[in-house]
Amino acid sequence: MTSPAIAGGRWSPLGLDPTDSVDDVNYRPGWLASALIQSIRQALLIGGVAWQVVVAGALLVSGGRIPRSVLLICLLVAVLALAGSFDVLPGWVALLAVYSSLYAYYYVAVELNSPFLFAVLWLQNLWWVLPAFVLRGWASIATSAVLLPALCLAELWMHPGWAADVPRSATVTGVGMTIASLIARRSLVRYATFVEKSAADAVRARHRLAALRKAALESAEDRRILHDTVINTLGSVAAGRGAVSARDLVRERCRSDVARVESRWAQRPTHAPVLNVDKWSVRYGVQVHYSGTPPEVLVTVLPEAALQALDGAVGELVQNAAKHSGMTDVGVDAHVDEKQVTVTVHDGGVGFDGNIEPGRGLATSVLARARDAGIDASIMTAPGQGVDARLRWQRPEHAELDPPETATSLADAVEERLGWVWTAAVTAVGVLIESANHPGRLTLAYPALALVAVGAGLAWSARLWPGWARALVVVYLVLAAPACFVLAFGGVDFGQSSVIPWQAIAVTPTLILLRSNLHSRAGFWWAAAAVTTAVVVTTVVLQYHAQPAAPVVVVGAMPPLFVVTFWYVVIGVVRSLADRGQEAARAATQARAESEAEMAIARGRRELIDGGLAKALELLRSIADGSRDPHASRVQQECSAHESYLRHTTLLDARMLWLGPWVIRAFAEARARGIQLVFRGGEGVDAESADSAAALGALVLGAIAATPPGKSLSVSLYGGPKTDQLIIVGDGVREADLSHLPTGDGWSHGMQRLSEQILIEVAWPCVDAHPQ
Amino acid sequence: MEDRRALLVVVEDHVLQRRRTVELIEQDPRLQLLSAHETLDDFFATQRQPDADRPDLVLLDLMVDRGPSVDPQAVARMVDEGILVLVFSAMASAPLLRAVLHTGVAGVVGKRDSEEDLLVAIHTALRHATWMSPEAAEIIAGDRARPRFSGQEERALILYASGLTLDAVAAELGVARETAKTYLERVKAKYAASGRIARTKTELRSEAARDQLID
Repeated sequence: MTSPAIAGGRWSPLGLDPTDSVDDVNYRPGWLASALIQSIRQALLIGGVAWQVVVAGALLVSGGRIPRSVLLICLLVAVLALAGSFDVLPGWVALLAVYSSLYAYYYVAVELNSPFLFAVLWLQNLWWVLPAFVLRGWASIATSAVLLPALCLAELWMHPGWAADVPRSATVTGVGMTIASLIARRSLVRYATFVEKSAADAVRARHRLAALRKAALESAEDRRILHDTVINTLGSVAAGRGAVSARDLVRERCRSDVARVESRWAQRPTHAPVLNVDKWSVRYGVQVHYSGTPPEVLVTVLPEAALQALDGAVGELVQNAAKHSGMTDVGVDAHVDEKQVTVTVHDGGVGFDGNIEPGRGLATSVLARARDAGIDASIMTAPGQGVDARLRWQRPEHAELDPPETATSLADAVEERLGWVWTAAVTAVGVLIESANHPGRLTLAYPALALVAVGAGLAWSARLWPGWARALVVVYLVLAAPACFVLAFGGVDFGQSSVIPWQAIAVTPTLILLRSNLHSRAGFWWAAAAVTTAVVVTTVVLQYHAQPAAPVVVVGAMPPLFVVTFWYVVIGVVRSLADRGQEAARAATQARAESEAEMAIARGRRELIDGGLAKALELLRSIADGSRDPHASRVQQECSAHESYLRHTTLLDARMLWLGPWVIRAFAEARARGIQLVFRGGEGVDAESADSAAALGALVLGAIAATPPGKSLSVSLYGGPKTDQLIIVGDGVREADLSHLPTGDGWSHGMQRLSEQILIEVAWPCVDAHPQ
Repeated sequence: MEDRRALLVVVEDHVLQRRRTVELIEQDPRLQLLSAHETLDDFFATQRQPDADRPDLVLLDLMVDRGPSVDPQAVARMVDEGILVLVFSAMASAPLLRAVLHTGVAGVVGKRDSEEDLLVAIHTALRHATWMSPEAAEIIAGDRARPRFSGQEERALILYASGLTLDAVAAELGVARETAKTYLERVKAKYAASGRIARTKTELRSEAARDQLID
């Protein structure tokens, strides 16, 4: 059974993609709910076409007292319903056509207990669902409120001799179906709205990521200008000889490069550097000593709000130490690991009693500020013991890829809710009809309804039961399904006296409970097979005993078939939307995570470039104003170091989500140790996960620590069809100081010395090579 | 080629870089500077003069300050006309360099390579052989869509691109220095051929080499 669906507002078997509509510039909120309702309306109207076939078949087996010209009405109604389902006619025209045909059918009906009238009555009963999906709000209720009594009155007027139980049953069933359909519509609209919101979120996140990448292109232009100006000039001066033979030309070039880059950089939004100890030293008159993880790395780890709060809190602590500690030196230490970022501020001053008065001083400027940004803050101090403040921000465990309420979980809830509503409606309406039609009589319909009620109670309780107990409930419902059918038929004396009040759909809750509430596909199909067998056996037995009710059994099997088929169609659409909604939610979360990671890496790279650029511009400025000589070997060496640093940092790939922060940290540490780091990143190469990135990052940091100052170290990433590789080549690296080579599933590694160079290789399965 | 000095054109927008390159060429008795230009368009403009001399080799910088980068199609036209093109680049844009490599240029030399390397690259190109700097090797090795290399070629490429000296690459592969160099030249030839341009006999041969039909 395929799900009906709509794409672009039209019927389409291809499926419905909520994100398509959101991408559209003409997007209308609520489109998805409208599309869902429209697809159900189409399914109902096509069901209306099919039911005309049932009515026509019933007419043909009902004997010759009904004029065959009624078949033309069947044909006309079928055509109108079909036109309505394809939007050739408005839905309300098809609805009126279906109900108008009922008057005609009642008019020509001769016998009360004929297959024809039985089929017509079930057309009437089932199609009370239609107004809720064709008309909106009160219009649907008003239509049912008008049509229902009108039909009953028409029937009484046309056939005053018929038993009163027909209009009574029709009224109760009609009211029950109308209420159930309104509840179902409301649930489905709410569900579609949720899925649409997920899709809209996904599209917004994708747009944000696209905007971010567009901004990255702007940033690429900045880097290109750097290459064409400062980096090339530094390289030329570093090369010496002919490039710097004309001093005036060199100075002019340096002057123009500085002016060009400064004017370009002045147009960028400014981003104040964080943990700027030089600024604090000057401002507060103390010497601030920074150690540990460089600030350039912190900006790649902390979210913006936490970063700003941390910067403000540390600044306040430094200021506090300057004012009250009586010391001239303050230490700031930062440490980043896989789980957290910890920054400590310590002075060896007079300290205090540890009593921090709420609402004032440190309580507000440090503790409250930090906690508001999700940072744990603690201050340890005692008189004469100095102040030791610790600020700790913990990383989220993992990126949350499954939002708390997913389209799938909501689809489960909608499906189950509709299952309970249908079961309750069938049971309640059945008891009402039975008690009204057979007052004071305990018919076989009651045990049928009792089987349903008990089954519903068991299914409800089974939510908390173990697997074996749930299996027993499934077995119960499989057995109850044919029993219900037979007992409900028994409620009308197996068609021997009156078949009209036969509660043919009493069997449907057992099937729906199995499928939608117990989620047992096998149980559902076993139950369906059992009911089919019951229908066949009952028909054969009646036929064998020459009972005229045999055709009625076949007609009586049609309402459950239509209800369950319709159920499958609706649930199929809901499930299809759930899959897409879930996909959209995942895409949104993924895009958000990528945006945040790329922003953090871009921020870190910018910090790195800005830090290196400031010093490079200072050098070029000094050459331009003549205070430094471009022929001096010391100046040429400095130019060479700046050129190499800027060239490699500008080439960092912001899409290297896992390894990016580690590379930035490596650059910062290499710079601090006076090591010339050359980094080569293969396009699209990255670690598999945060853990593998941490292992590779630790290896690189270990290699930097084992390299003597002044030497160079090359770190390269290469992507292959099956594995990605990290290769470290270094001069004078002390092997004994290297950390252990990382290992993992599918990883390989090697290390060897080749003359003066050391070669370290690590390979790991690339992400694309993993089996799906 | 032995009878006369090779005629060279320098296209480089950065004045200090250009002066350095011009000085190097002028100091080499086997080379003669035909002209130096800021942009490729300037060079094309001089070539349109009726009495313009045709250069043997153009030393070409890819990125131009305050203007668009070099168009790979313009480079392809030069190559088609039989002008040797040696790219002299800071390699700030890997995609641009890859696009230019597809045109069949004679080689790539990095701006931070030594002056000796630059001269060796020029003479190698003039012998119609290929030259590849470690940085160019890095750009090739970093390309997942690189052509299919033999095991030794790929290993030589990655080790060389990672910063190992040619001697260290040879030692790691257990081959002679010249053999390692040959591997790298093949790599360059295959990569240049991966543009799948096969209009001449030479180009067809390169295509066949890429598919490892010939070596």
